[in-house]
Amino acid sequence: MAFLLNCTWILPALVAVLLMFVPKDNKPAIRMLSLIGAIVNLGIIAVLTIVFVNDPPALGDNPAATVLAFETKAMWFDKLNIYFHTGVDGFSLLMMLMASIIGLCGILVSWNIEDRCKEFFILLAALLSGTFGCFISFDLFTFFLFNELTLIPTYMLIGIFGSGKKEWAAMKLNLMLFGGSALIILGMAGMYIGSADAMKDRGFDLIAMAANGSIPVEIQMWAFPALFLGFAVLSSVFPFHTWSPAGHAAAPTAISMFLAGVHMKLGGYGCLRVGMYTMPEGAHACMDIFLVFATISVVYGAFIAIRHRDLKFINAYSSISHVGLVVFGFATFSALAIRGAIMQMVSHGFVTAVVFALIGSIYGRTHTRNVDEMGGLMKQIPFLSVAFVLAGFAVVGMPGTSSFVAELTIFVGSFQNPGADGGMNPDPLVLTCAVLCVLTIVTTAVYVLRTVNRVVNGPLTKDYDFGDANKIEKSAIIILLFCIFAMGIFPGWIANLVDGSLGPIMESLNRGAR
Amino acid sequence: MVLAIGLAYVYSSSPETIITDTWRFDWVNLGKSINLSLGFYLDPISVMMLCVITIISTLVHIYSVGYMHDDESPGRFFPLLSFFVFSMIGLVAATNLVQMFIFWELVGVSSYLLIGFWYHKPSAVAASKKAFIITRFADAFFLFGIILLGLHCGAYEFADLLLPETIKTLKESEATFAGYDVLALGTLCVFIGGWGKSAMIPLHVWLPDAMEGPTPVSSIIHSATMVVAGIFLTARMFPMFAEAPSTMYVVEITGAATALFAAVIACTQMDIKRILAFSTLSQLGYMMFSLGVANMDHSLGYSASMFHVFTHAFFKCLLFLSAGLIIHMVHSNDIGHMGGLRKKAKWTYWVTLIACLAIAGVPGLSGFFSKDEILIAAWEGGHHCSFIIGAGVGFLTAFYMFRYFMLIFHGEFRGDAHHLEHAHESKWMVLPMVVLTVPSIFAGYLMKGQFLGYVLPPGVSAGEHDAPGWIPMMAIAASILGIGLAVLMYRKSPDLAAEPKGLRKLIYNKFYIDELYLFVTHKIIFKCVAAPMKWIDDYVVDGAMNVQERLSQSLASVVRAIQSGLAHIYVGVFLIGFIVLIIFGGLFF
Amino acid sequence: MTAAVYPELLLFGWIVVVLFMDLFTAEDKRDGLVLTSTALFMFFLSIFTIFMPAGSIHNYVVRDWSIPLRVLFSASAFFSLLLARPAFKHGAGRERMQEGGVFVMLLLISTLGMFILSASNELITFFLGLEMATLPLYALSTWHRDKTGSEAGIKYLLIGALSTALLLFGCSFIYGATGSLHFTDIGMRLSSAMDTGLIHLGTLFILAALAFKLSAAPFHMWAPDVYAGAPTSITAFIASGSKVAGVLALLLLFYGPLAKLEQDNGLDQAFMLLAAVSMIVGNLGALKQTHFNRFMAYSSIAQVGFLFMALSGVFGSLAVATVVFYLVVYVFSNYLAFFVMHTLADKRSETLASLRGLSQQSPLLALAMMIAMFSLAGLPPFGGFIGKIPLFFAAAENDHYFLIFFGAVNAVVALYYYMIVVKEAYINKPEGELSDITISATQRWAILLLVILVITLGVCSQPHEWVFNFFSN
Repeated sequence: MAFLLNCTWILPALVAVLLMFVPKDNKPAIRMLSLIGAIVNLGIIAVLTIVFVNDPPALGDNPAATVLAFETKAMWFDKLNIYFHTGVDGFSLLMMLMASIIGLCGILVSWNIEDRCKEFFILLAALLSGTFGCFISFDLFTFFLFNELTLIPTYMLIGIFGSGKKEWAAMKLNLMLFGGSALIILGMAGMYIGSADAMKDRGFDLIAMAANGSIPVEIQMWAFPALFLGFAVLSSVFPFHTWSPAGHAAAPTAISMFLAGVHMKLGGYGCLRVGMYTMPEGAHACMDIFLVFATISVVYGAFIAIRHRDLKFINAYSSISHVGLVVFGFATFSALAIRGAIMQMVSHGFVTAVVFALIGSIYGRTHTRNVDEMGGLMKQIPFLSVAFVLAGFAVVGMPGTSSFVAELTIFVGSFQNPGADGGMNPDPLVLTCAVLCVLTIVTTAVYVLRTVNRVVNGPLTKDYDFGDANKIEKSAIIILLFCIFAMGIFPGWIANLVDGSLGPIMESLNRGAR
Repeated sequence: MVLAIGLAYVYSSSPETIITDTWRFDWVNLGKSINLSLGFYLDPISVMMLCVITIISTLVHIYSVGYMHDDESPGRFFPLLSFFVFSMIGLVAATNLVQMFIFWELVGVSSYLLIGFWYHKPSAVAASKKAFIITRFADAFFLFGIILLGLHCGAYEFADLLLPETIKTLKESEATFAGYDVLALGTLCVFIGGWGKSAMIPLHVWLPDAMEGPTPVSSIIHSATMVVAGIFLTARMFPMFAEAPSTMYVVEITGAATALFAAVIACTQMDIKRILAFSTLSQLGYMMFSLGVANMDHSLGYSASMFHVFTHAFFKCLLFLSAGLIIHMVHSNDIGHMGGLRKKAKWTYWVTLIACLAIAGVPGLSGFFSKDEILIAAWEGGHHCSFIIGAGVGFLTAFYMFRYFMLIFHGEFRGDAHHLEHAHESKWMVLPMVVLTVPSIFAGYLMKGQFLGYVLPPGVSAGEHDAPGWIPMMAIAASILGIGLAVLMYRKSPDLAAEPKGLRKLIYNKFYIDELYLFVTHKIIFKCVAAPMKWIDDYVVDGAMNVQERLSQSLASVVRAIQSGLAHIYVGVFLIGFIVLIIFGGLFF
Repeated sequence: MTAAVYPELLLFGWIVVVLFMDLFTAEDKRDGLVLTSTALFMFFLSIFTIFMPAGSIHNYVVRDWSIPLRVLFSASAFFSLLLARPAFKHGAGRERMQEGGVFVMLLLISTLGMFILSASNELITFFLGLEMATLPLYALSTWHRDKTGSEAGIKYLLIGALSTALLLFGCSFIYGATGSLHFTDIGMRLSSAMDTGLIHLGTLFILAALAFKLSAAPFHMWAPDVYAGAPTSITAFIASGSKVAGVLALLLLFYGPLAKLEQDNGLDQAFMLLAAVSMIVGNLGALKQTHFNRFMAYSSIAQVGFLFMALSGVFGSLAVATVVFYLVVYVFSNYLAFFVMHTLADKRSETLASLRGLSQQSPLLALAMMIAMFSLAGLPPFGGFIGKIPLFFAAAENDHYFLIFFGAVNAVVALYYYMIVVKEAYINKPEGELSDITISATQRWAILLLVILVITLGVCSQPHEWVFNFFSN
């Protein structure tokens, strides 16, 4: 089983290598190979999830130590104490499930790429490989390695296959993300040096660092903000969000989906798993600032989305707003809100992916992304339009969609934050921010409805001569919408999956509060 | 229709006494101890609502078969309508606040989709957006209230939440949120949710616009069912609200103000459906202030309100259906283009007359009974101001309804006769209307006893009744007066072309509240909040990122400039560097 | 006689062989024969050196930790010879180079100097080895007898002379203060010496001289011109072999006799200064370059900055080991980049623009260039990642967090210009018709070998472990 888990990143890498040997004119083979790879990967993760749910790992002696399923731990770079340490808990499994579904849909929506098709699918496979590696790594160094591994394909994919100011956007995106990585390096350096205290030797083992509380508080005080900020850049928290609209606008559809759906979640994942889990004292000391910035992201992203006319920009800012909510959830330190934030990560992954897929499909027909130039598409392309409306409701957070559950949990949780006295009187700052976030659901409704009304409703602006979505597009969109609604209607098991893995994280965080 | 089964089920369970908590489905847990579930919570008021919803929806479905006959996409209409009914049933049967919120939102969604059903009409699309956003705005507060109450009571289930002990604990705990009493703030926020959904002023602006939807939609959603969700919510939470006097005060004021305000506007409107919409608003105001005047010991207002919800649903639905038929006939919404239709539409004429009489509060018809109870409740509770408003609105109601009636059916036809030639009353449409006249007439007699008897939530006592006999008399007088005045004024076809002036113009334009909203949203929020934010994002935040690039580019030019290719400069830099190194090298520190 | 010195002896022997080969072969076959056979020899020497043990003869001490560096010297020479072959055959874009025998001999002498430097245990040998390693490079960098070639040589020589003077000065100060040339003696007397100021001053003189060899800013001014003017093979050798020699010299002194001095708070400021200035000058300089070799010059300046960042403060075992390992990665990545460019330069100029359209024309070359650039930028899964990131940890050991932050920011800028190269190869559209690319078998195999090396270093832990084992005590 442990090998099967590692297959999740080996397999895409293998697909990438195999694709190199396929002649570049044999496009059907290239597509099929990537598709099969993605399906097999999804299958593996599904099997692992089923096994995991049926037989979750028992709790360990140390309540703050995450017990991993399907664990592999092998010494890698001996002298630096770098292990190749992979495994999953419910949290990472959930993220992988989401990433593999979005990856699969990404391949589907890219089916029609003709120009440099081979390179596209190689890079996409490499991107998937890096992402999965990241989610299963429990050694900070390998985590960081896989995280960086995603940068190269992202840059190339946007730079080569993008549109508009693609080179500029790709460069900007990568530099900002790498800037985030620079901060992560700084934090990592501190953690590495600091970890010597309680662990026998320096190292990067996340669980060991968290379980023993081994990083000295004075190091945490600056290493945590650096690390958290680094991941916050990845999840495009204000004011480090500007890579995201530029990048999404320029990226090809599949990459927009993956960037907003999975990549930004990698940031959130890192914030929680690496930042807060291992350095709870630092987290408690600095979180107010991040709370404020997250709230600004939520409100600010929503308001700016009102003003934009380009569909991709609208969704990019909407993503900033929604991912801000994830960081907000983390920053409240409430177990419930953190659970909600994790669900929001998954939910927003699907939602934003389907929105980007739809934008891609619509753009492929109208050749414009400007909402003012569209209108009345409901008549012309009913399937895409209905899907667009449904996706719009998912963005707004209507009941029945996954985002409702997630946002509700965050909001309820944020009012249950431990607060200064740990009692019924929560921290006033958290409450202020929470109220602002709750009120933002109105702003969200405003921009979503404006967009939906302009694109789908109203009279047809001109005579179009295109048809509705083809089968492949439809299947991608249906898969994603299915996930959104399935999660919205039956959220229970996901909540349980997350709760099982939140225990150690909360244990560590509570220790930090003392 | 599909709902016949549901109807039967509901009837079979209605005689049950207090609470039946049937089927549960574990949904998601919020926190360790709080497990949310979906299920049915049946008590008298929810059963009453279920009856109303299912009866009316069945009739409206039948009516729609005729109404949507010519429409190009009935395949979309009926599923949406059923979805609405599903949501509404979920709402009234909710076992907990969160479930209620879920279906509350779903009702909003389906309402949005149905109002914007004719998506190619820009006005319909705009109206649907407006309806959704305004109710969403209220819902944000509702959500906030739910969280607040849930946090402090540790429960979301109505069964737990409304226990006298829970409320007592909450009241005595003196818990505060940001300096406000939790009970007052929480109930107020929950009420704001109902405020938006039931379109109390100033959140009423969406309801008249929502008439852009197909008429069956207006009749089911915007008269009989969805808009009373706010009333229902308030009633559902009544035991808790009753302990928060400030909230009850707000409920009463809002209700009374809406009743008066909407009635005044209804007297001037020319759009057939808008008149009915404002009439709905006014009646909702009645129900709301009736709730506001009730308390734990004197709950007549509560019962009366529920009674009015019940009776109003039938005759208002009937009015809408008849209006729809008329629109179908004359292809216009403007009553200025109607008149003299009594010959052409005989069935419609009679049913509308009955409905108008009912809503005007003429004795013997259902509206009279429920309105009468409301006025009695207001008087008994000592809320004289509300009582006076209620009586005045009774007069206005009678007036505008008969203005409406006279302008449509009497006088000369003022519209395009061409349409009238082919017009006929569709059987599918007439049938439900006729059926609806029955409860419009008799609902009052039949149900009065039951409503005043056992509709109360636990812990609430009905209190004593000693209503002075002059109250019904006064109400009757007011309605007769209103009817008389209207008949007198609009007996002959009056000149309707004149532009309204002065105060009438103000009223005709609905006190310019819509314009105020536009100003606030477009001018203030979009132009003064969102636009500057975008500017900041483009030029300050993003600019700061780009400045770094430009900075490094210009520094790069400096480096290149030094690298001139001249050997003596190289040596010079070398030596300067050496000196700096010596200085920094710690030799002199 | 210990086996440790066999590589030097073999190398010396081969220089004599080359001398005779140069004399006794026909002129038309001479260059090819000498280059090929020497390349083969150097290849075997690099392998051979790996397996030679440490040992000493009197004051000639082959330290165990210098073995990886010695391997790098011979490997650098090997790759440089391979790079030089086309230049002697048909000029590779510039004027055809002549007199291969002398060229090879000078290169070998420089390599021998590096070997001698690595075994020095007193200041005279140290000086001798360092100069022997550098002097032939002055001549070699003028091998193209055009304007840029001679300009490069003159500038190199001029500033080189300055640095030699400083080096000698520094050595004499230290001798003056401690009364000994032996490293061990200097180390022992350092603590008891009266005049630490003089030692300090001497050390700074030597540091400046070594900074020149390493082309650390502000002693870097020669580098862009020399890199652009010299034959690509020599540019690559200066950028790798010579740089490794500079680091070796630094380690010999500061990891050896002057280790105690490092603990004075003063010297790490000097190192930090060099680190910061090199990083920023290198990065900014590289931003707007169009000529590939000049670009690589600035890139190498910046890379030295990272090395100095790790070395500032006490030379902990982590710092030294990571620096040495990073050098290994850096040398191979560097050569990979030069190989790709040199292959292209056959028909085109050595500018970044000639990379355009490469990904379509020759995916292998484009991929190789991308790997080289990303390895230099420190991205996984290439050697640069596992090489560069621990440099930051080494600096963290000395609590130089601000410098780490500065370095990390600079790494972002560095990524920017490395990505510009990748962009040229993959994204930018070529202007006009593209000339054909001919890849000779040697180039193909060399590139393949380097690609494998760069990836292996990033993925397999054995080389990493091998290097680190030398420093584990």
